[in-house]
Amino acid sequence: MTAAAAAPAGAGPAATAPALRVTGLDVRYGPVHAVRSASLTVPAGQVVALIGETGSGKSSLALAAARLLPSSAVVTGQVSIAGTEVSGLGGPQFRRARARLLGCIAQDAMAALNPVVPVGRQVGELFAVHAGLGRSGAAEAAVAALAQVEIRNPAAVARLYPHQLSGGMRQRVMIAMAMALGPPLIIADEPTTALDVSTQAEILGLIGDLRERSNSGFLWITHDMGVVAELADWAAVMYAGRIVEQGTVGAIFDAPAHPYTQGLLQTRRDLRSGAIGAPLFQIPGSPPAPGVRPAGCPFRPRCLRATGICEAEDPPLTPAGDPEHAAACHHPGPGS
Amino acid sequence: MARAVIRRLVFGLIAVTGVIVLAFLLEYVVPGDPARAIAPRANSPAVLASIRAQLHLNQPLIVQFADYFGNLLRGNLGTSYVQRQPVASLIGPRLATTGVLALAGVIAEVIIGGGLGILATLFGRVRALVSAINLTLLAIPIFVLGLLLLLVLGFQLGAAPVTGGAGAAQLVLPALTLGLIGAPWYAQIVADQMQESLASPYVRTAVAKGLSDRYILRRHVLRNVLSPAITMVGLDLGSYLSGVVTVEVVFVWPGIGLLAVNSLHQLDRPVVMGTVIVGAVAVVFFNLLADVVRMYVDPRTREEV
Amino acid sequence: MAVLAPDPAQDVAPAGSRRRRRWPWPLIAGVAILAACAGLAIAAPLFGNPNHQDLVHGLGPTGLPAGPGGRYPLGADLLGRNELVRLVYGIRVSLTVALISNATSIVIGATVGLLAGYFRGPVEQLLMRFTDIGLALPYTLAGLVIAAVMSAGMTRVIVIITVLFWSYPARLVYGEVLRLRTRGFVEAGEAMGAGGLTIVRRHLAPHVTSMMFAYSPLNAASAVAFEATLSYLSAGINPPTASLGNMISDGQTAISYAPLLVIAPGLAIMVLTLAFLLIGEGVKAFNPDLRRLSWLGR
Repeated sequence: MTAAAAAPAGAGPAATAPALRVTGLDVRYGPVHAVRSASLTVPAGQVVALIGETGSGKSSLALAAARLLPSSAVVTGQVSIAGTEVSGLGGPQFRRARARLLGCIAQDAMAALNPVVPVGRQVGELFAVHAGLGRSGAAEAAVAALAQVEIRNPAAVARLYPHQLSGGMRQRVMIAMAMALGPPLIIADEPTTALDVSTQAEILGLIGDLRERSNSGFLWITHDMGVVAELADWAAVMYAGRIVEQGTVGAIFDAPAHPYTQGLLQTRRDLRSGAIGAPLFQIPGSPPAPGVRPAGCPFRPRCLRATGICEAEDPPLTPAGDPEHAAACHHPGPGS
Repeated sequence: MARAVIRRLVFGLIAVTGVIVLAFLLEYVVPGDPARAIAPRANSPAVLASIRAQLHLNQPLIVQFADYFGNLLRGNLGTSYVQRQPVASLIGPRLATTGVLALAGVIAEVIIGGGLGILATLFGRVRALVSAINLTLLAIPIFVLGLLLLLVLGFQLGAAPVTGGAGAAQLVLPALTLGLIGAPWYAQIVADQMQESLASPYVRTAVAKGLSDRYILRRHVLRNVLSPAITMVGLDLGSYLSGVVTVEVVFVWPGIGLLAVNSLHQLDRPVVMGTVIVGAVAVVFFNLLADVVRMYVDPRTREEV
Repeated sequence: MAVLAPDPAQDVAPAGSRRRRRWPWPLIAGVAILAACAGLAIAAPLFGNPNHQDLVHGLGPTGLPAGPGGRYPLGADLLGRNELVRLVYGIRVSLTVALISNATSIVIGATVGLLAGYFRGPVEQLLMRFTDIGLALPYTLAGLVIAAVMSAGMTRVIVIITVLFWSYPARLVYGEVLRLRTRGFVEAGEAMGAGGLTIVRRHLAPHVTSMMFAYSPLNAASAVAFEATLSYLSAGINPPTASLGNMISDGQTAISYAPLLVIAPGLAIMVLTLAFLLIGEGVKAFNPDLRRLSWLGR
């Protein structure tokens, strides 16, 4: 998972190319340095959760990989999807490659769907434009895609408009659009955040089923550790634009090495422990404003383990425990 | 959707009835004696009295109104004082003439205005120029623009006919005038809506789906722009029809507007009332039509109360 | 008293005026042009007599009007009158009509809107129905109809414009009052036992007044254009009194050989309208809420 590591243990050199490999990605919005030299890999067919709070740079990283940032953003670094180096591709070339390589699931399905076009047509146009199907062929394929995301009565739903569907149904439509052409990589930007708890559970269940059947890798952005636990194989934690910890979900949850990760998990534990009246753990302080970056470790002002070196040097990602687990900390390990 | 249409229809009928009542009442405020207007050279009071009796002018108001309304429902709009013809026969043939001009004008304003709006949105360098054009067009009264076009395109360049008539060639200048006058409004709406659409998440989704810019503009953005533009056509109707009337006078286009203006100057009351009523019905009808079209184009408006 | 209800006077102070020291250029340009026109209008009598017909010098030997030059900088019209003098008088008329009818239509409209929005219920329904009719009327035709029952002159034009224009500010004010109501001023005031008029005066009036100030330049621009149109159609101010509109209708027959008779008053109308429009744009800079108003001046 680290830039230096090879493919997951046990895989040979003929392994399938990773769904996503990001190397040294930098994203700047004018003076604001939203993502600093991030490197990330999504192995083929696996789910990587990208965790962080608002402003951590997680959305910027994902959108930069998908080339969906406004043109005012400056993106450097390398991105390859399913073995294809895409960061070097020109606009029209990338566009042609894009639907077959990459599917995107947005957070707000209501805003992300065209309000005046029936949803069936919005799914169908992928087939019409990229798979060369005619109008009726595309329509049939769209209905089939809707059936795949467990929408009952897909033919009738296809004729409806986004505002006539429930939130959960809209999200399913987005998922259908993302997975329609079976792309090797799907980037999902907090798709369940806006849903109520029971719908969220349904959607997560659906994703779980779809995973079994497809070969797509997922980059799943979230701030909800519960979703991570349920869905992801791997996790990467971002703070102030940097990836500060990454590893298998098991490793992260059982033996978090970075104090920030530990804080996140502690908060969650307290919430779920059910001790009514007991104060909830809170990581003291607040994240730095985007773009404001003092020297040294960005987490230092809030860290109970901070020492002199933390103020002086930005810690690199170093292995912590098993080979795929790494943390960017001068004092990694179980918390104080 | 049917319920919304019926509601509008009912309001429309109420409005038309209101106009009819108002127009009828106006009779009694306009100075002048109808009998004298019909027979200006009559001297004997007996003749005038008999004319008044014929026109039921001595009956109470309510009776006269009932009379008038009854006639209206049968399609009888009265008889012109000046031309001694049934008003309906004067208005009838001109309906199509005005209709053609009105339609041509709407098409012109949507195309010119929409075009300006799209240009201003897509090409930043042109934006200031488009703003200046819009401001100029807003500042110019319709008849001044019409005369200017007549002068330049008609007389000086000889590109358009300068004599009256209702042919296709004569349609160009008046339709162009209407189009240019209305253009700034459509330009603004189209530009606003396009900007909003282009910045919206669903366009980002479309980009993410690998659709080309041109496809996105055509299939996604334009549809969203249509709805407010059509609403504008509906809202615009009252002032648009004013413009049509003025343009008909400037270019001597033989439509209902020209008829109304001439009849007013001649104090030919029945014709004036007839045109006002026809105008009111037209406004209501086209408003309704615009609403229906808008509901078709923008499904979000279908369920509205 | 001000403890419970927020002080609306603070809301009214435009946010921009303290921060933005630079005055917006449209405002300056508009005011400058308007001032120049006003100057001309006031100085009109110094130019001469607009109705003086000089059939000897004004009309040449062929009976055609004199061209521009010399005593007739803009030429003479078809009755031998000095076009420039008539132009200046026409500007005077347009400005007068615009200012008066602007004031009357806004005062009436704002009052209707205020009453409808504050009192709600049947009063509101009645007033708003009238307003709707007013908004839907094709105003040229309606103006012609009203013109038929009044004698020509400035009074007629002012009445027509007032009658046909009041429904726009009425609708705007009505909407604003409804919006203000949702901010709780009205309920708070009533809860404190303040009477209707007090609430209107202290809480609603400041907002409405500032909105109407911003709207009036656009209203005036429309008034200038509409007066010209009415006079052109012989439904406003008729000759021999000089109005920019009737000067154009007089000069129309001579357009092919004496285009200045149409172009000069036409340009004058445009300049006046433009001045008001520019002022309107400039005023918006002080109150960004009114951005939408820019296209409602019709």
